[in-house]
Amino acid sequence: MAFFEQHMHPVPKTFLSKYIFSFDHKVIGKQFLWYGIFFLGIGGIMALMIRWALAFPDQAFPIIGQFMFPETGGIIPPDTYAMLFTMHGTIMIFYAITPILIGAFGNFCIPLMIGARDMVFPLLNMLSFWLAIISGLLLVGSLFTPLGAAAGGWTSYPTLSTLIGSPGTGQTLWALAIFVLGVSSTMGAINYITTIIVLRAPGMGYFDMPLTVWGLWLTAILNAIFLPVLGAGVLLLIFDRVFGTQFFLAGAAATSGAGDPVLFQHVFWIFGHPEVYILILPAWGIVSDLLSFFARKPAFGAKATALSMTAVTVLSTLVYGHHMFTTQMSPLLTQSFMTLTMTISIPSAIFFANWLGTIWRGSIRFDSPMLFSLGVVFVFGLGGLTGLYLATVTTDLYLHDTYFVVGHFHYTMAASVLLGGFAAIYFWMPKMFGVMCNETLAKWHFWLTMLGLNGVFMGMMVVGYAGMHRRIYNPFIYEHLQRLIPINEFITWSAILMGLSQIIFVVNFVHTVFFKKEKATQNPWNVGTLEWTIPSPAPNYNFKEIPVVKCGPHEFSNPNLTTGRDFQYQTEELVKA
Amino acid sequence: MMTKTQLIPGEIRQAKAIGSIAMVFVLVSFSMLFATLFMGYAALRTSAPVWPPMGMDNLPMLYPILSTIFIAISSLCWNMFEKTLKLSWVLATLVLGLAFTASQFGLWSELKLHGILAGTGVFASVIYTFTWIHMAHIAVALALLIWPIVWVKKEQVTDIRAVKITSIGKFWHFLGIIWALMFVTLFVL
Ligand SMILES: [Cu+2]
Repeated sequence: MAFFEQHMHPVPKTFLSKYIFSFDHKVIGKQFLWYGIFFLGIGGIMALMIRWALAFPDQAFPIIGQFMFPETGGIIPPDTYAMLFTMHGTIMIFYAITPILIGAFGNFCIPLMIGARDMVFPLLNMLSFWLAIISGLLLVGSLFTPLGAAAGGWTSYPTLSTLIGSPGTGQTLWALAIFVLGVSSTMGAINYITTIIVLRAPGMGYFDMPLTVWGLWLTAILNAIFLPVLGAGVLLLIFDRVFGTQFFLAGAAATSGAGDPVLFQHVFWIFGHPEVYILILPAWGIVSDLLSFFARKPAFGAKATALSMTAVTVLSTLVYGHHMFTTQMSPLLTQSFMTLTMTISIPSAIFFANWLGTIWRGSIRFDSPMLFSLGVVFVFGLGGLTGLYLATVTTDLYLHDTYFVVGHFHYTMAASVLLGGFAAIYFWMPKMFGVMCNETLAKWHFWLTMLGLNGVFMGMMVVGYAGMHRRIYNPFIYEHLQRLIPINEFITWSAILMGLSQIIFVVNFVHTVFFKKEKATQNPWNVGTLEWTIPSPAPNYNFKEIPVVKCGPHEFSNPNLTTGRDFQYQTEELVKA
Repeated sequence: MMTKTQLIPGEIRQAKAIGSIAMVFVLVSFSMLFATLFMGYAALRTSAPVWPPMGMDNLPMLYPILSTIFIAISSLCWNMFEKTLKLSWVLATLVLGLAFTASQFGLWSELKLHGILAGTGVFASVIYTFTWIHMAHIAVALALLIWPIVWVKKEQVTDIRAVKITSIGKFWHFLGIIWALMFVTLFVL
């Protein structure tokens, strides 16, 4: 759509309409950012507790242990351990990564980068955030129910998640929270998709969009298609638990005409595999842009990158069976799922090569967003490669449910998304809040995080390969795992390092947002995408005049440039010889 | 937010296009929800040794047939409403929607009379769950009908509102189609 008349928002006057019930995509994006950072902290502390239990199973958890588990003298009890890994996974995936990458940067970046004044449905946008708040309250509330929170793993397989496995209300509230969050994210997704289709600035074709927008768009499409699948699954789970239906009950638990526990696994992974791409696609997009911005070179094969990300999106819908190789599906199916999964490495390799092509012989500026982007390239490369061992049926049968899997998926969807999120925060900080983060602290944050992160996840892959199973409390009662105690202690110390280095980020972020006086300039990174053509922080109406786009987002170091800059704004005609 | 009520022709076209694009994805989302339910049903049914599972009577057909008739006519009435924008047609849609609701409640009490409860077996679970979830959507759609009724009554059907009316209509027809699929797969086959 070439042009659409967009009206300017009136400036909100009251505190409520400005900060709480705001229709402004920038404010909603910031709300999601705080929401995500809050849950990132909670999920992170849970991770440290899990790690503590795996390294020092008979010692009290430091500082808060005595207060949280008085009956065991501060030692994490087994049932709490199960709740911790369940809630850690749920919180990190749905309440930290999703709000930060999709909620915050989806909201903030899409209208600014496509030259729009807001999302196409601002009311829907606000409702989406407040549903996410309700969902978060349900989830946090479930921690305080009599039998505690959900403890069946973030995948909540029956029968662990039915009344037989977890009789408490915690599991019901978990399912309800996920359902509500699904509704919220679907609303957001429909808004994003429509916005990108109809509100692109005049002159901006799909391939003139920054790759960040591409990533967010593909994510939104996957969200709109597959979140309802999870929604249906958890709805049936709720009905099984509350109304006594029997979808996931089998054997003696069902009265007549048995249900099927494995059915939930199918439903869950039909959603679950696209979900990992839902999480990573925005990070891929952001990194694809930032590598070009800080290498001062056009993104190598930007069109191919966009198309291969699209190919991954399509393929991701066809591979879910690789999570279920051990459920006795027919060999014909396992072979097909294996082949399709392997196929994903082709488009992934294409854009990965494009990333390397982008930084190849660039005049790289090692600012903090670039450091984090390079970090993503490294950890995603490692995570992607180790995925091949899990896609292969023969090796997966051995590695299934070991720490190798845990290490692999943390590299792909935790480490790379986390680093991508930090890159985005440091990069868009001036446009969001009008101030720049402290670079020295940001660099310390990067290196310490990187060190801790690789210690944790590399270590996990090693112990997993040695046969350590996931989700068991105190694995060292098994003789064959006792030799893994030292390396588990190493992983835990790495996790503590990683956890502590986040304090640097929080201090830097909070100080910058609330106390820093020195204002950022309009375009501190010298980048040509549309959001840098307007003042920092972005004004209420974004663009005084709707911009007209004349060139792509990565026009750097064009030898014909005579402006004294080494980049072009997207509103400028491409300089030719 | 939209300050102007009447738009120039170009803007009307754009508003319509935005409405259709958004509705495509809305309906895709809802379709996936129901598709998942149907997929689960198909998996349970094809893997069961006998169907309907042992001990199940034939299901009462009267109420499902009534529901089908009500929702089919309601869709036709809505079509007439979109063409004429007359209050009587949208009211007819509303009344038929309420009749559909009543026939669903009739179905549930009839099932209860036959001793079929949600926990009676997996087929009963399917029937109750599908009708509950569908009914919840019908309830939302009925609530949405209030706006067109108010707009038509006050004779304030602006261009933007006309687009919204089309969108509500699409949702209503969609629920009719879902019911038709449920009727055939749950009750007829
Ligand atoms: Cu997968």
